[in-house]
Amino acid sequence: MMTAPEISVAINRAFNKGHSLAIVSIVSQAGATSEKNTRLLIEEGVGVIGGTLGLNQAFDTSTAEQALLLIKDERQEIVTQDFADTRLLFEIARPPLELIVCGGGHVGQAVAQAGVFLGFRVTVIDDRAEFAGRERFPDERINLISDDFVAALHSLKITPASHLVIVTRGHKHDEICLREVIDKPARYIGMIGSRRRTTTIRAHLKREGVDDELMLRVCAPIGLDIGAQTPEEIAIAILAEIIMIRRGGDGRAKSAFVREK
Amino acid sequence: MSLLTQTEVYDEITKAQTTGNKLAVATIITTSGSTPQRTGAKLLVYDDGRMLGTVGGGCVEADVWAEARQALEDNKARVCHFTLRDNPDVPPDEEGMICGGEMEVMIEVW
Repeated sequence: MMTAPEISVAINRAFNKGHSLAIVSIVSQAGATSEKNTRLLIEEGVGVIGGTLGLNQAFDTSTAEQALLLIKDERQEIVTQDFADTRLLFEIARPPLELIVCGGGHVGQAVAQAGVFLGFRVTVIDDRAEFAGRERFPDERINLISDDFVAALHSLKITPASHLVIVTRGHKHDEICLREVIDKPARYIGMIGSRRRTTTIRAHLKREGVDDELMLRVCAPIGLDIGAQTPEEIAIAILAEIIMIRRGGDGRAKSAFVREK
Repeated sequence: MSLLTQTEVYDEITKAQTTGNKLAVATIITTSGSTPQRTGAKLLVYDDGRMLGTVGGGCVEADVWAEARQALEDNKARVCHFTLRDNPDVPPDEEGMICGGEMEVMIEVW
C-alpha cells in the first residue's frame, strides 16, 4: 500500500515532468465502504507508477487504461465509476500550468498579466534587459529572464504543461524562438504575425527539415479572431485560444444574437 | 478560499502522521442539483477539530465536520449523503442563490 509521503513524492515527480496523474481509490465494494485507504496511481504517458487496488493485476490494468482516458480529457477532474460491485473514485491531479512568453514588449506585457490572472506560472524572456525588467513587470509572480532567447529557452524545462507564446519584437527573433521550441512537448505553441509572415517562417523551418506534423500544431497567426487591436485585446484573444484548446470549446459566441449578426 | 490541491492534501496527511496524529479527509465525490462546492473539493479535519480546505461552508460544512470527527473517533471510513435544505435561521438569499442540491462525501481516516 502506498503511504501518504510516497503519494506526495509521486505527485511531485510527475508534476516536474509536466505530467498529469490519476489517483484512484475504492469508495465501496459490494455496498460496503472501503476500510483501507487504497490507492492506485497512474501517470500520463507512463502508466501505473504505484499502489494497487488490491483485487488482482488485471483489475489494476483495466483501471489504469480507464484512468489514462480520463487524464486525456482535460475537462475531467473527478469521476466515480462502477466496475461490477466495486465503486472507484478517479481524481485527476494536473500540474500547474506554465506560460512562457517570448518577448517583453507591449503584447508580451499584456499576455503575462492575463496569464497570471488565469493562474498560470508565467515566465517572460527578452534579450533586452529593460524589456524583462521588474519595472515593466511589477507583479512579483512573473518570473523574468533577460538573456539571449535561445539560451533562455534552453534553460527552461518545457513539458506538456508548458504554453509558449512567441511575441518578440520582430519576425527574426520569433523565428529563432520557434526553431528552439518546435520539437519540445509543449501543450501550446503560438506565434504572432500576419498570415504571410508566419507562412514565410514556416517555410524556412520546413526547408531546414522540420517535420510537417510538428509545424501543423503551431498556432500562427496566433489567437482567436475577436477583432483584437490593442495589446490587451490581443492578449485576451491569445489566452482565449489557449483556454479553448485545453477545455474543448469551439470559440463561437454562445448567443444566437451575436452569432447571426 | 481556494481548493486544496492533491499535493497539499497528501503533504498535510504526512505532517499529521509524523506527529502521531490522525487526519480525516472528506471529499465531495458526487453532486446533484445546486451545491455550494464542486466535486473534488476537500475538507481536512484534524484530531483537535481544526479544519483546512472547504466543502462549501455554512451548514453543510458543519455537518461534514461532525461526520469527520465521528469517523476519526471510530477510526473508520464512511460515505455520507447530504441534502442541502434552506437554513431556517438564514433569510432567503435575495440573489436567488439557494442551494437545494444533494452531495455525497467520502470520508477517509489516515
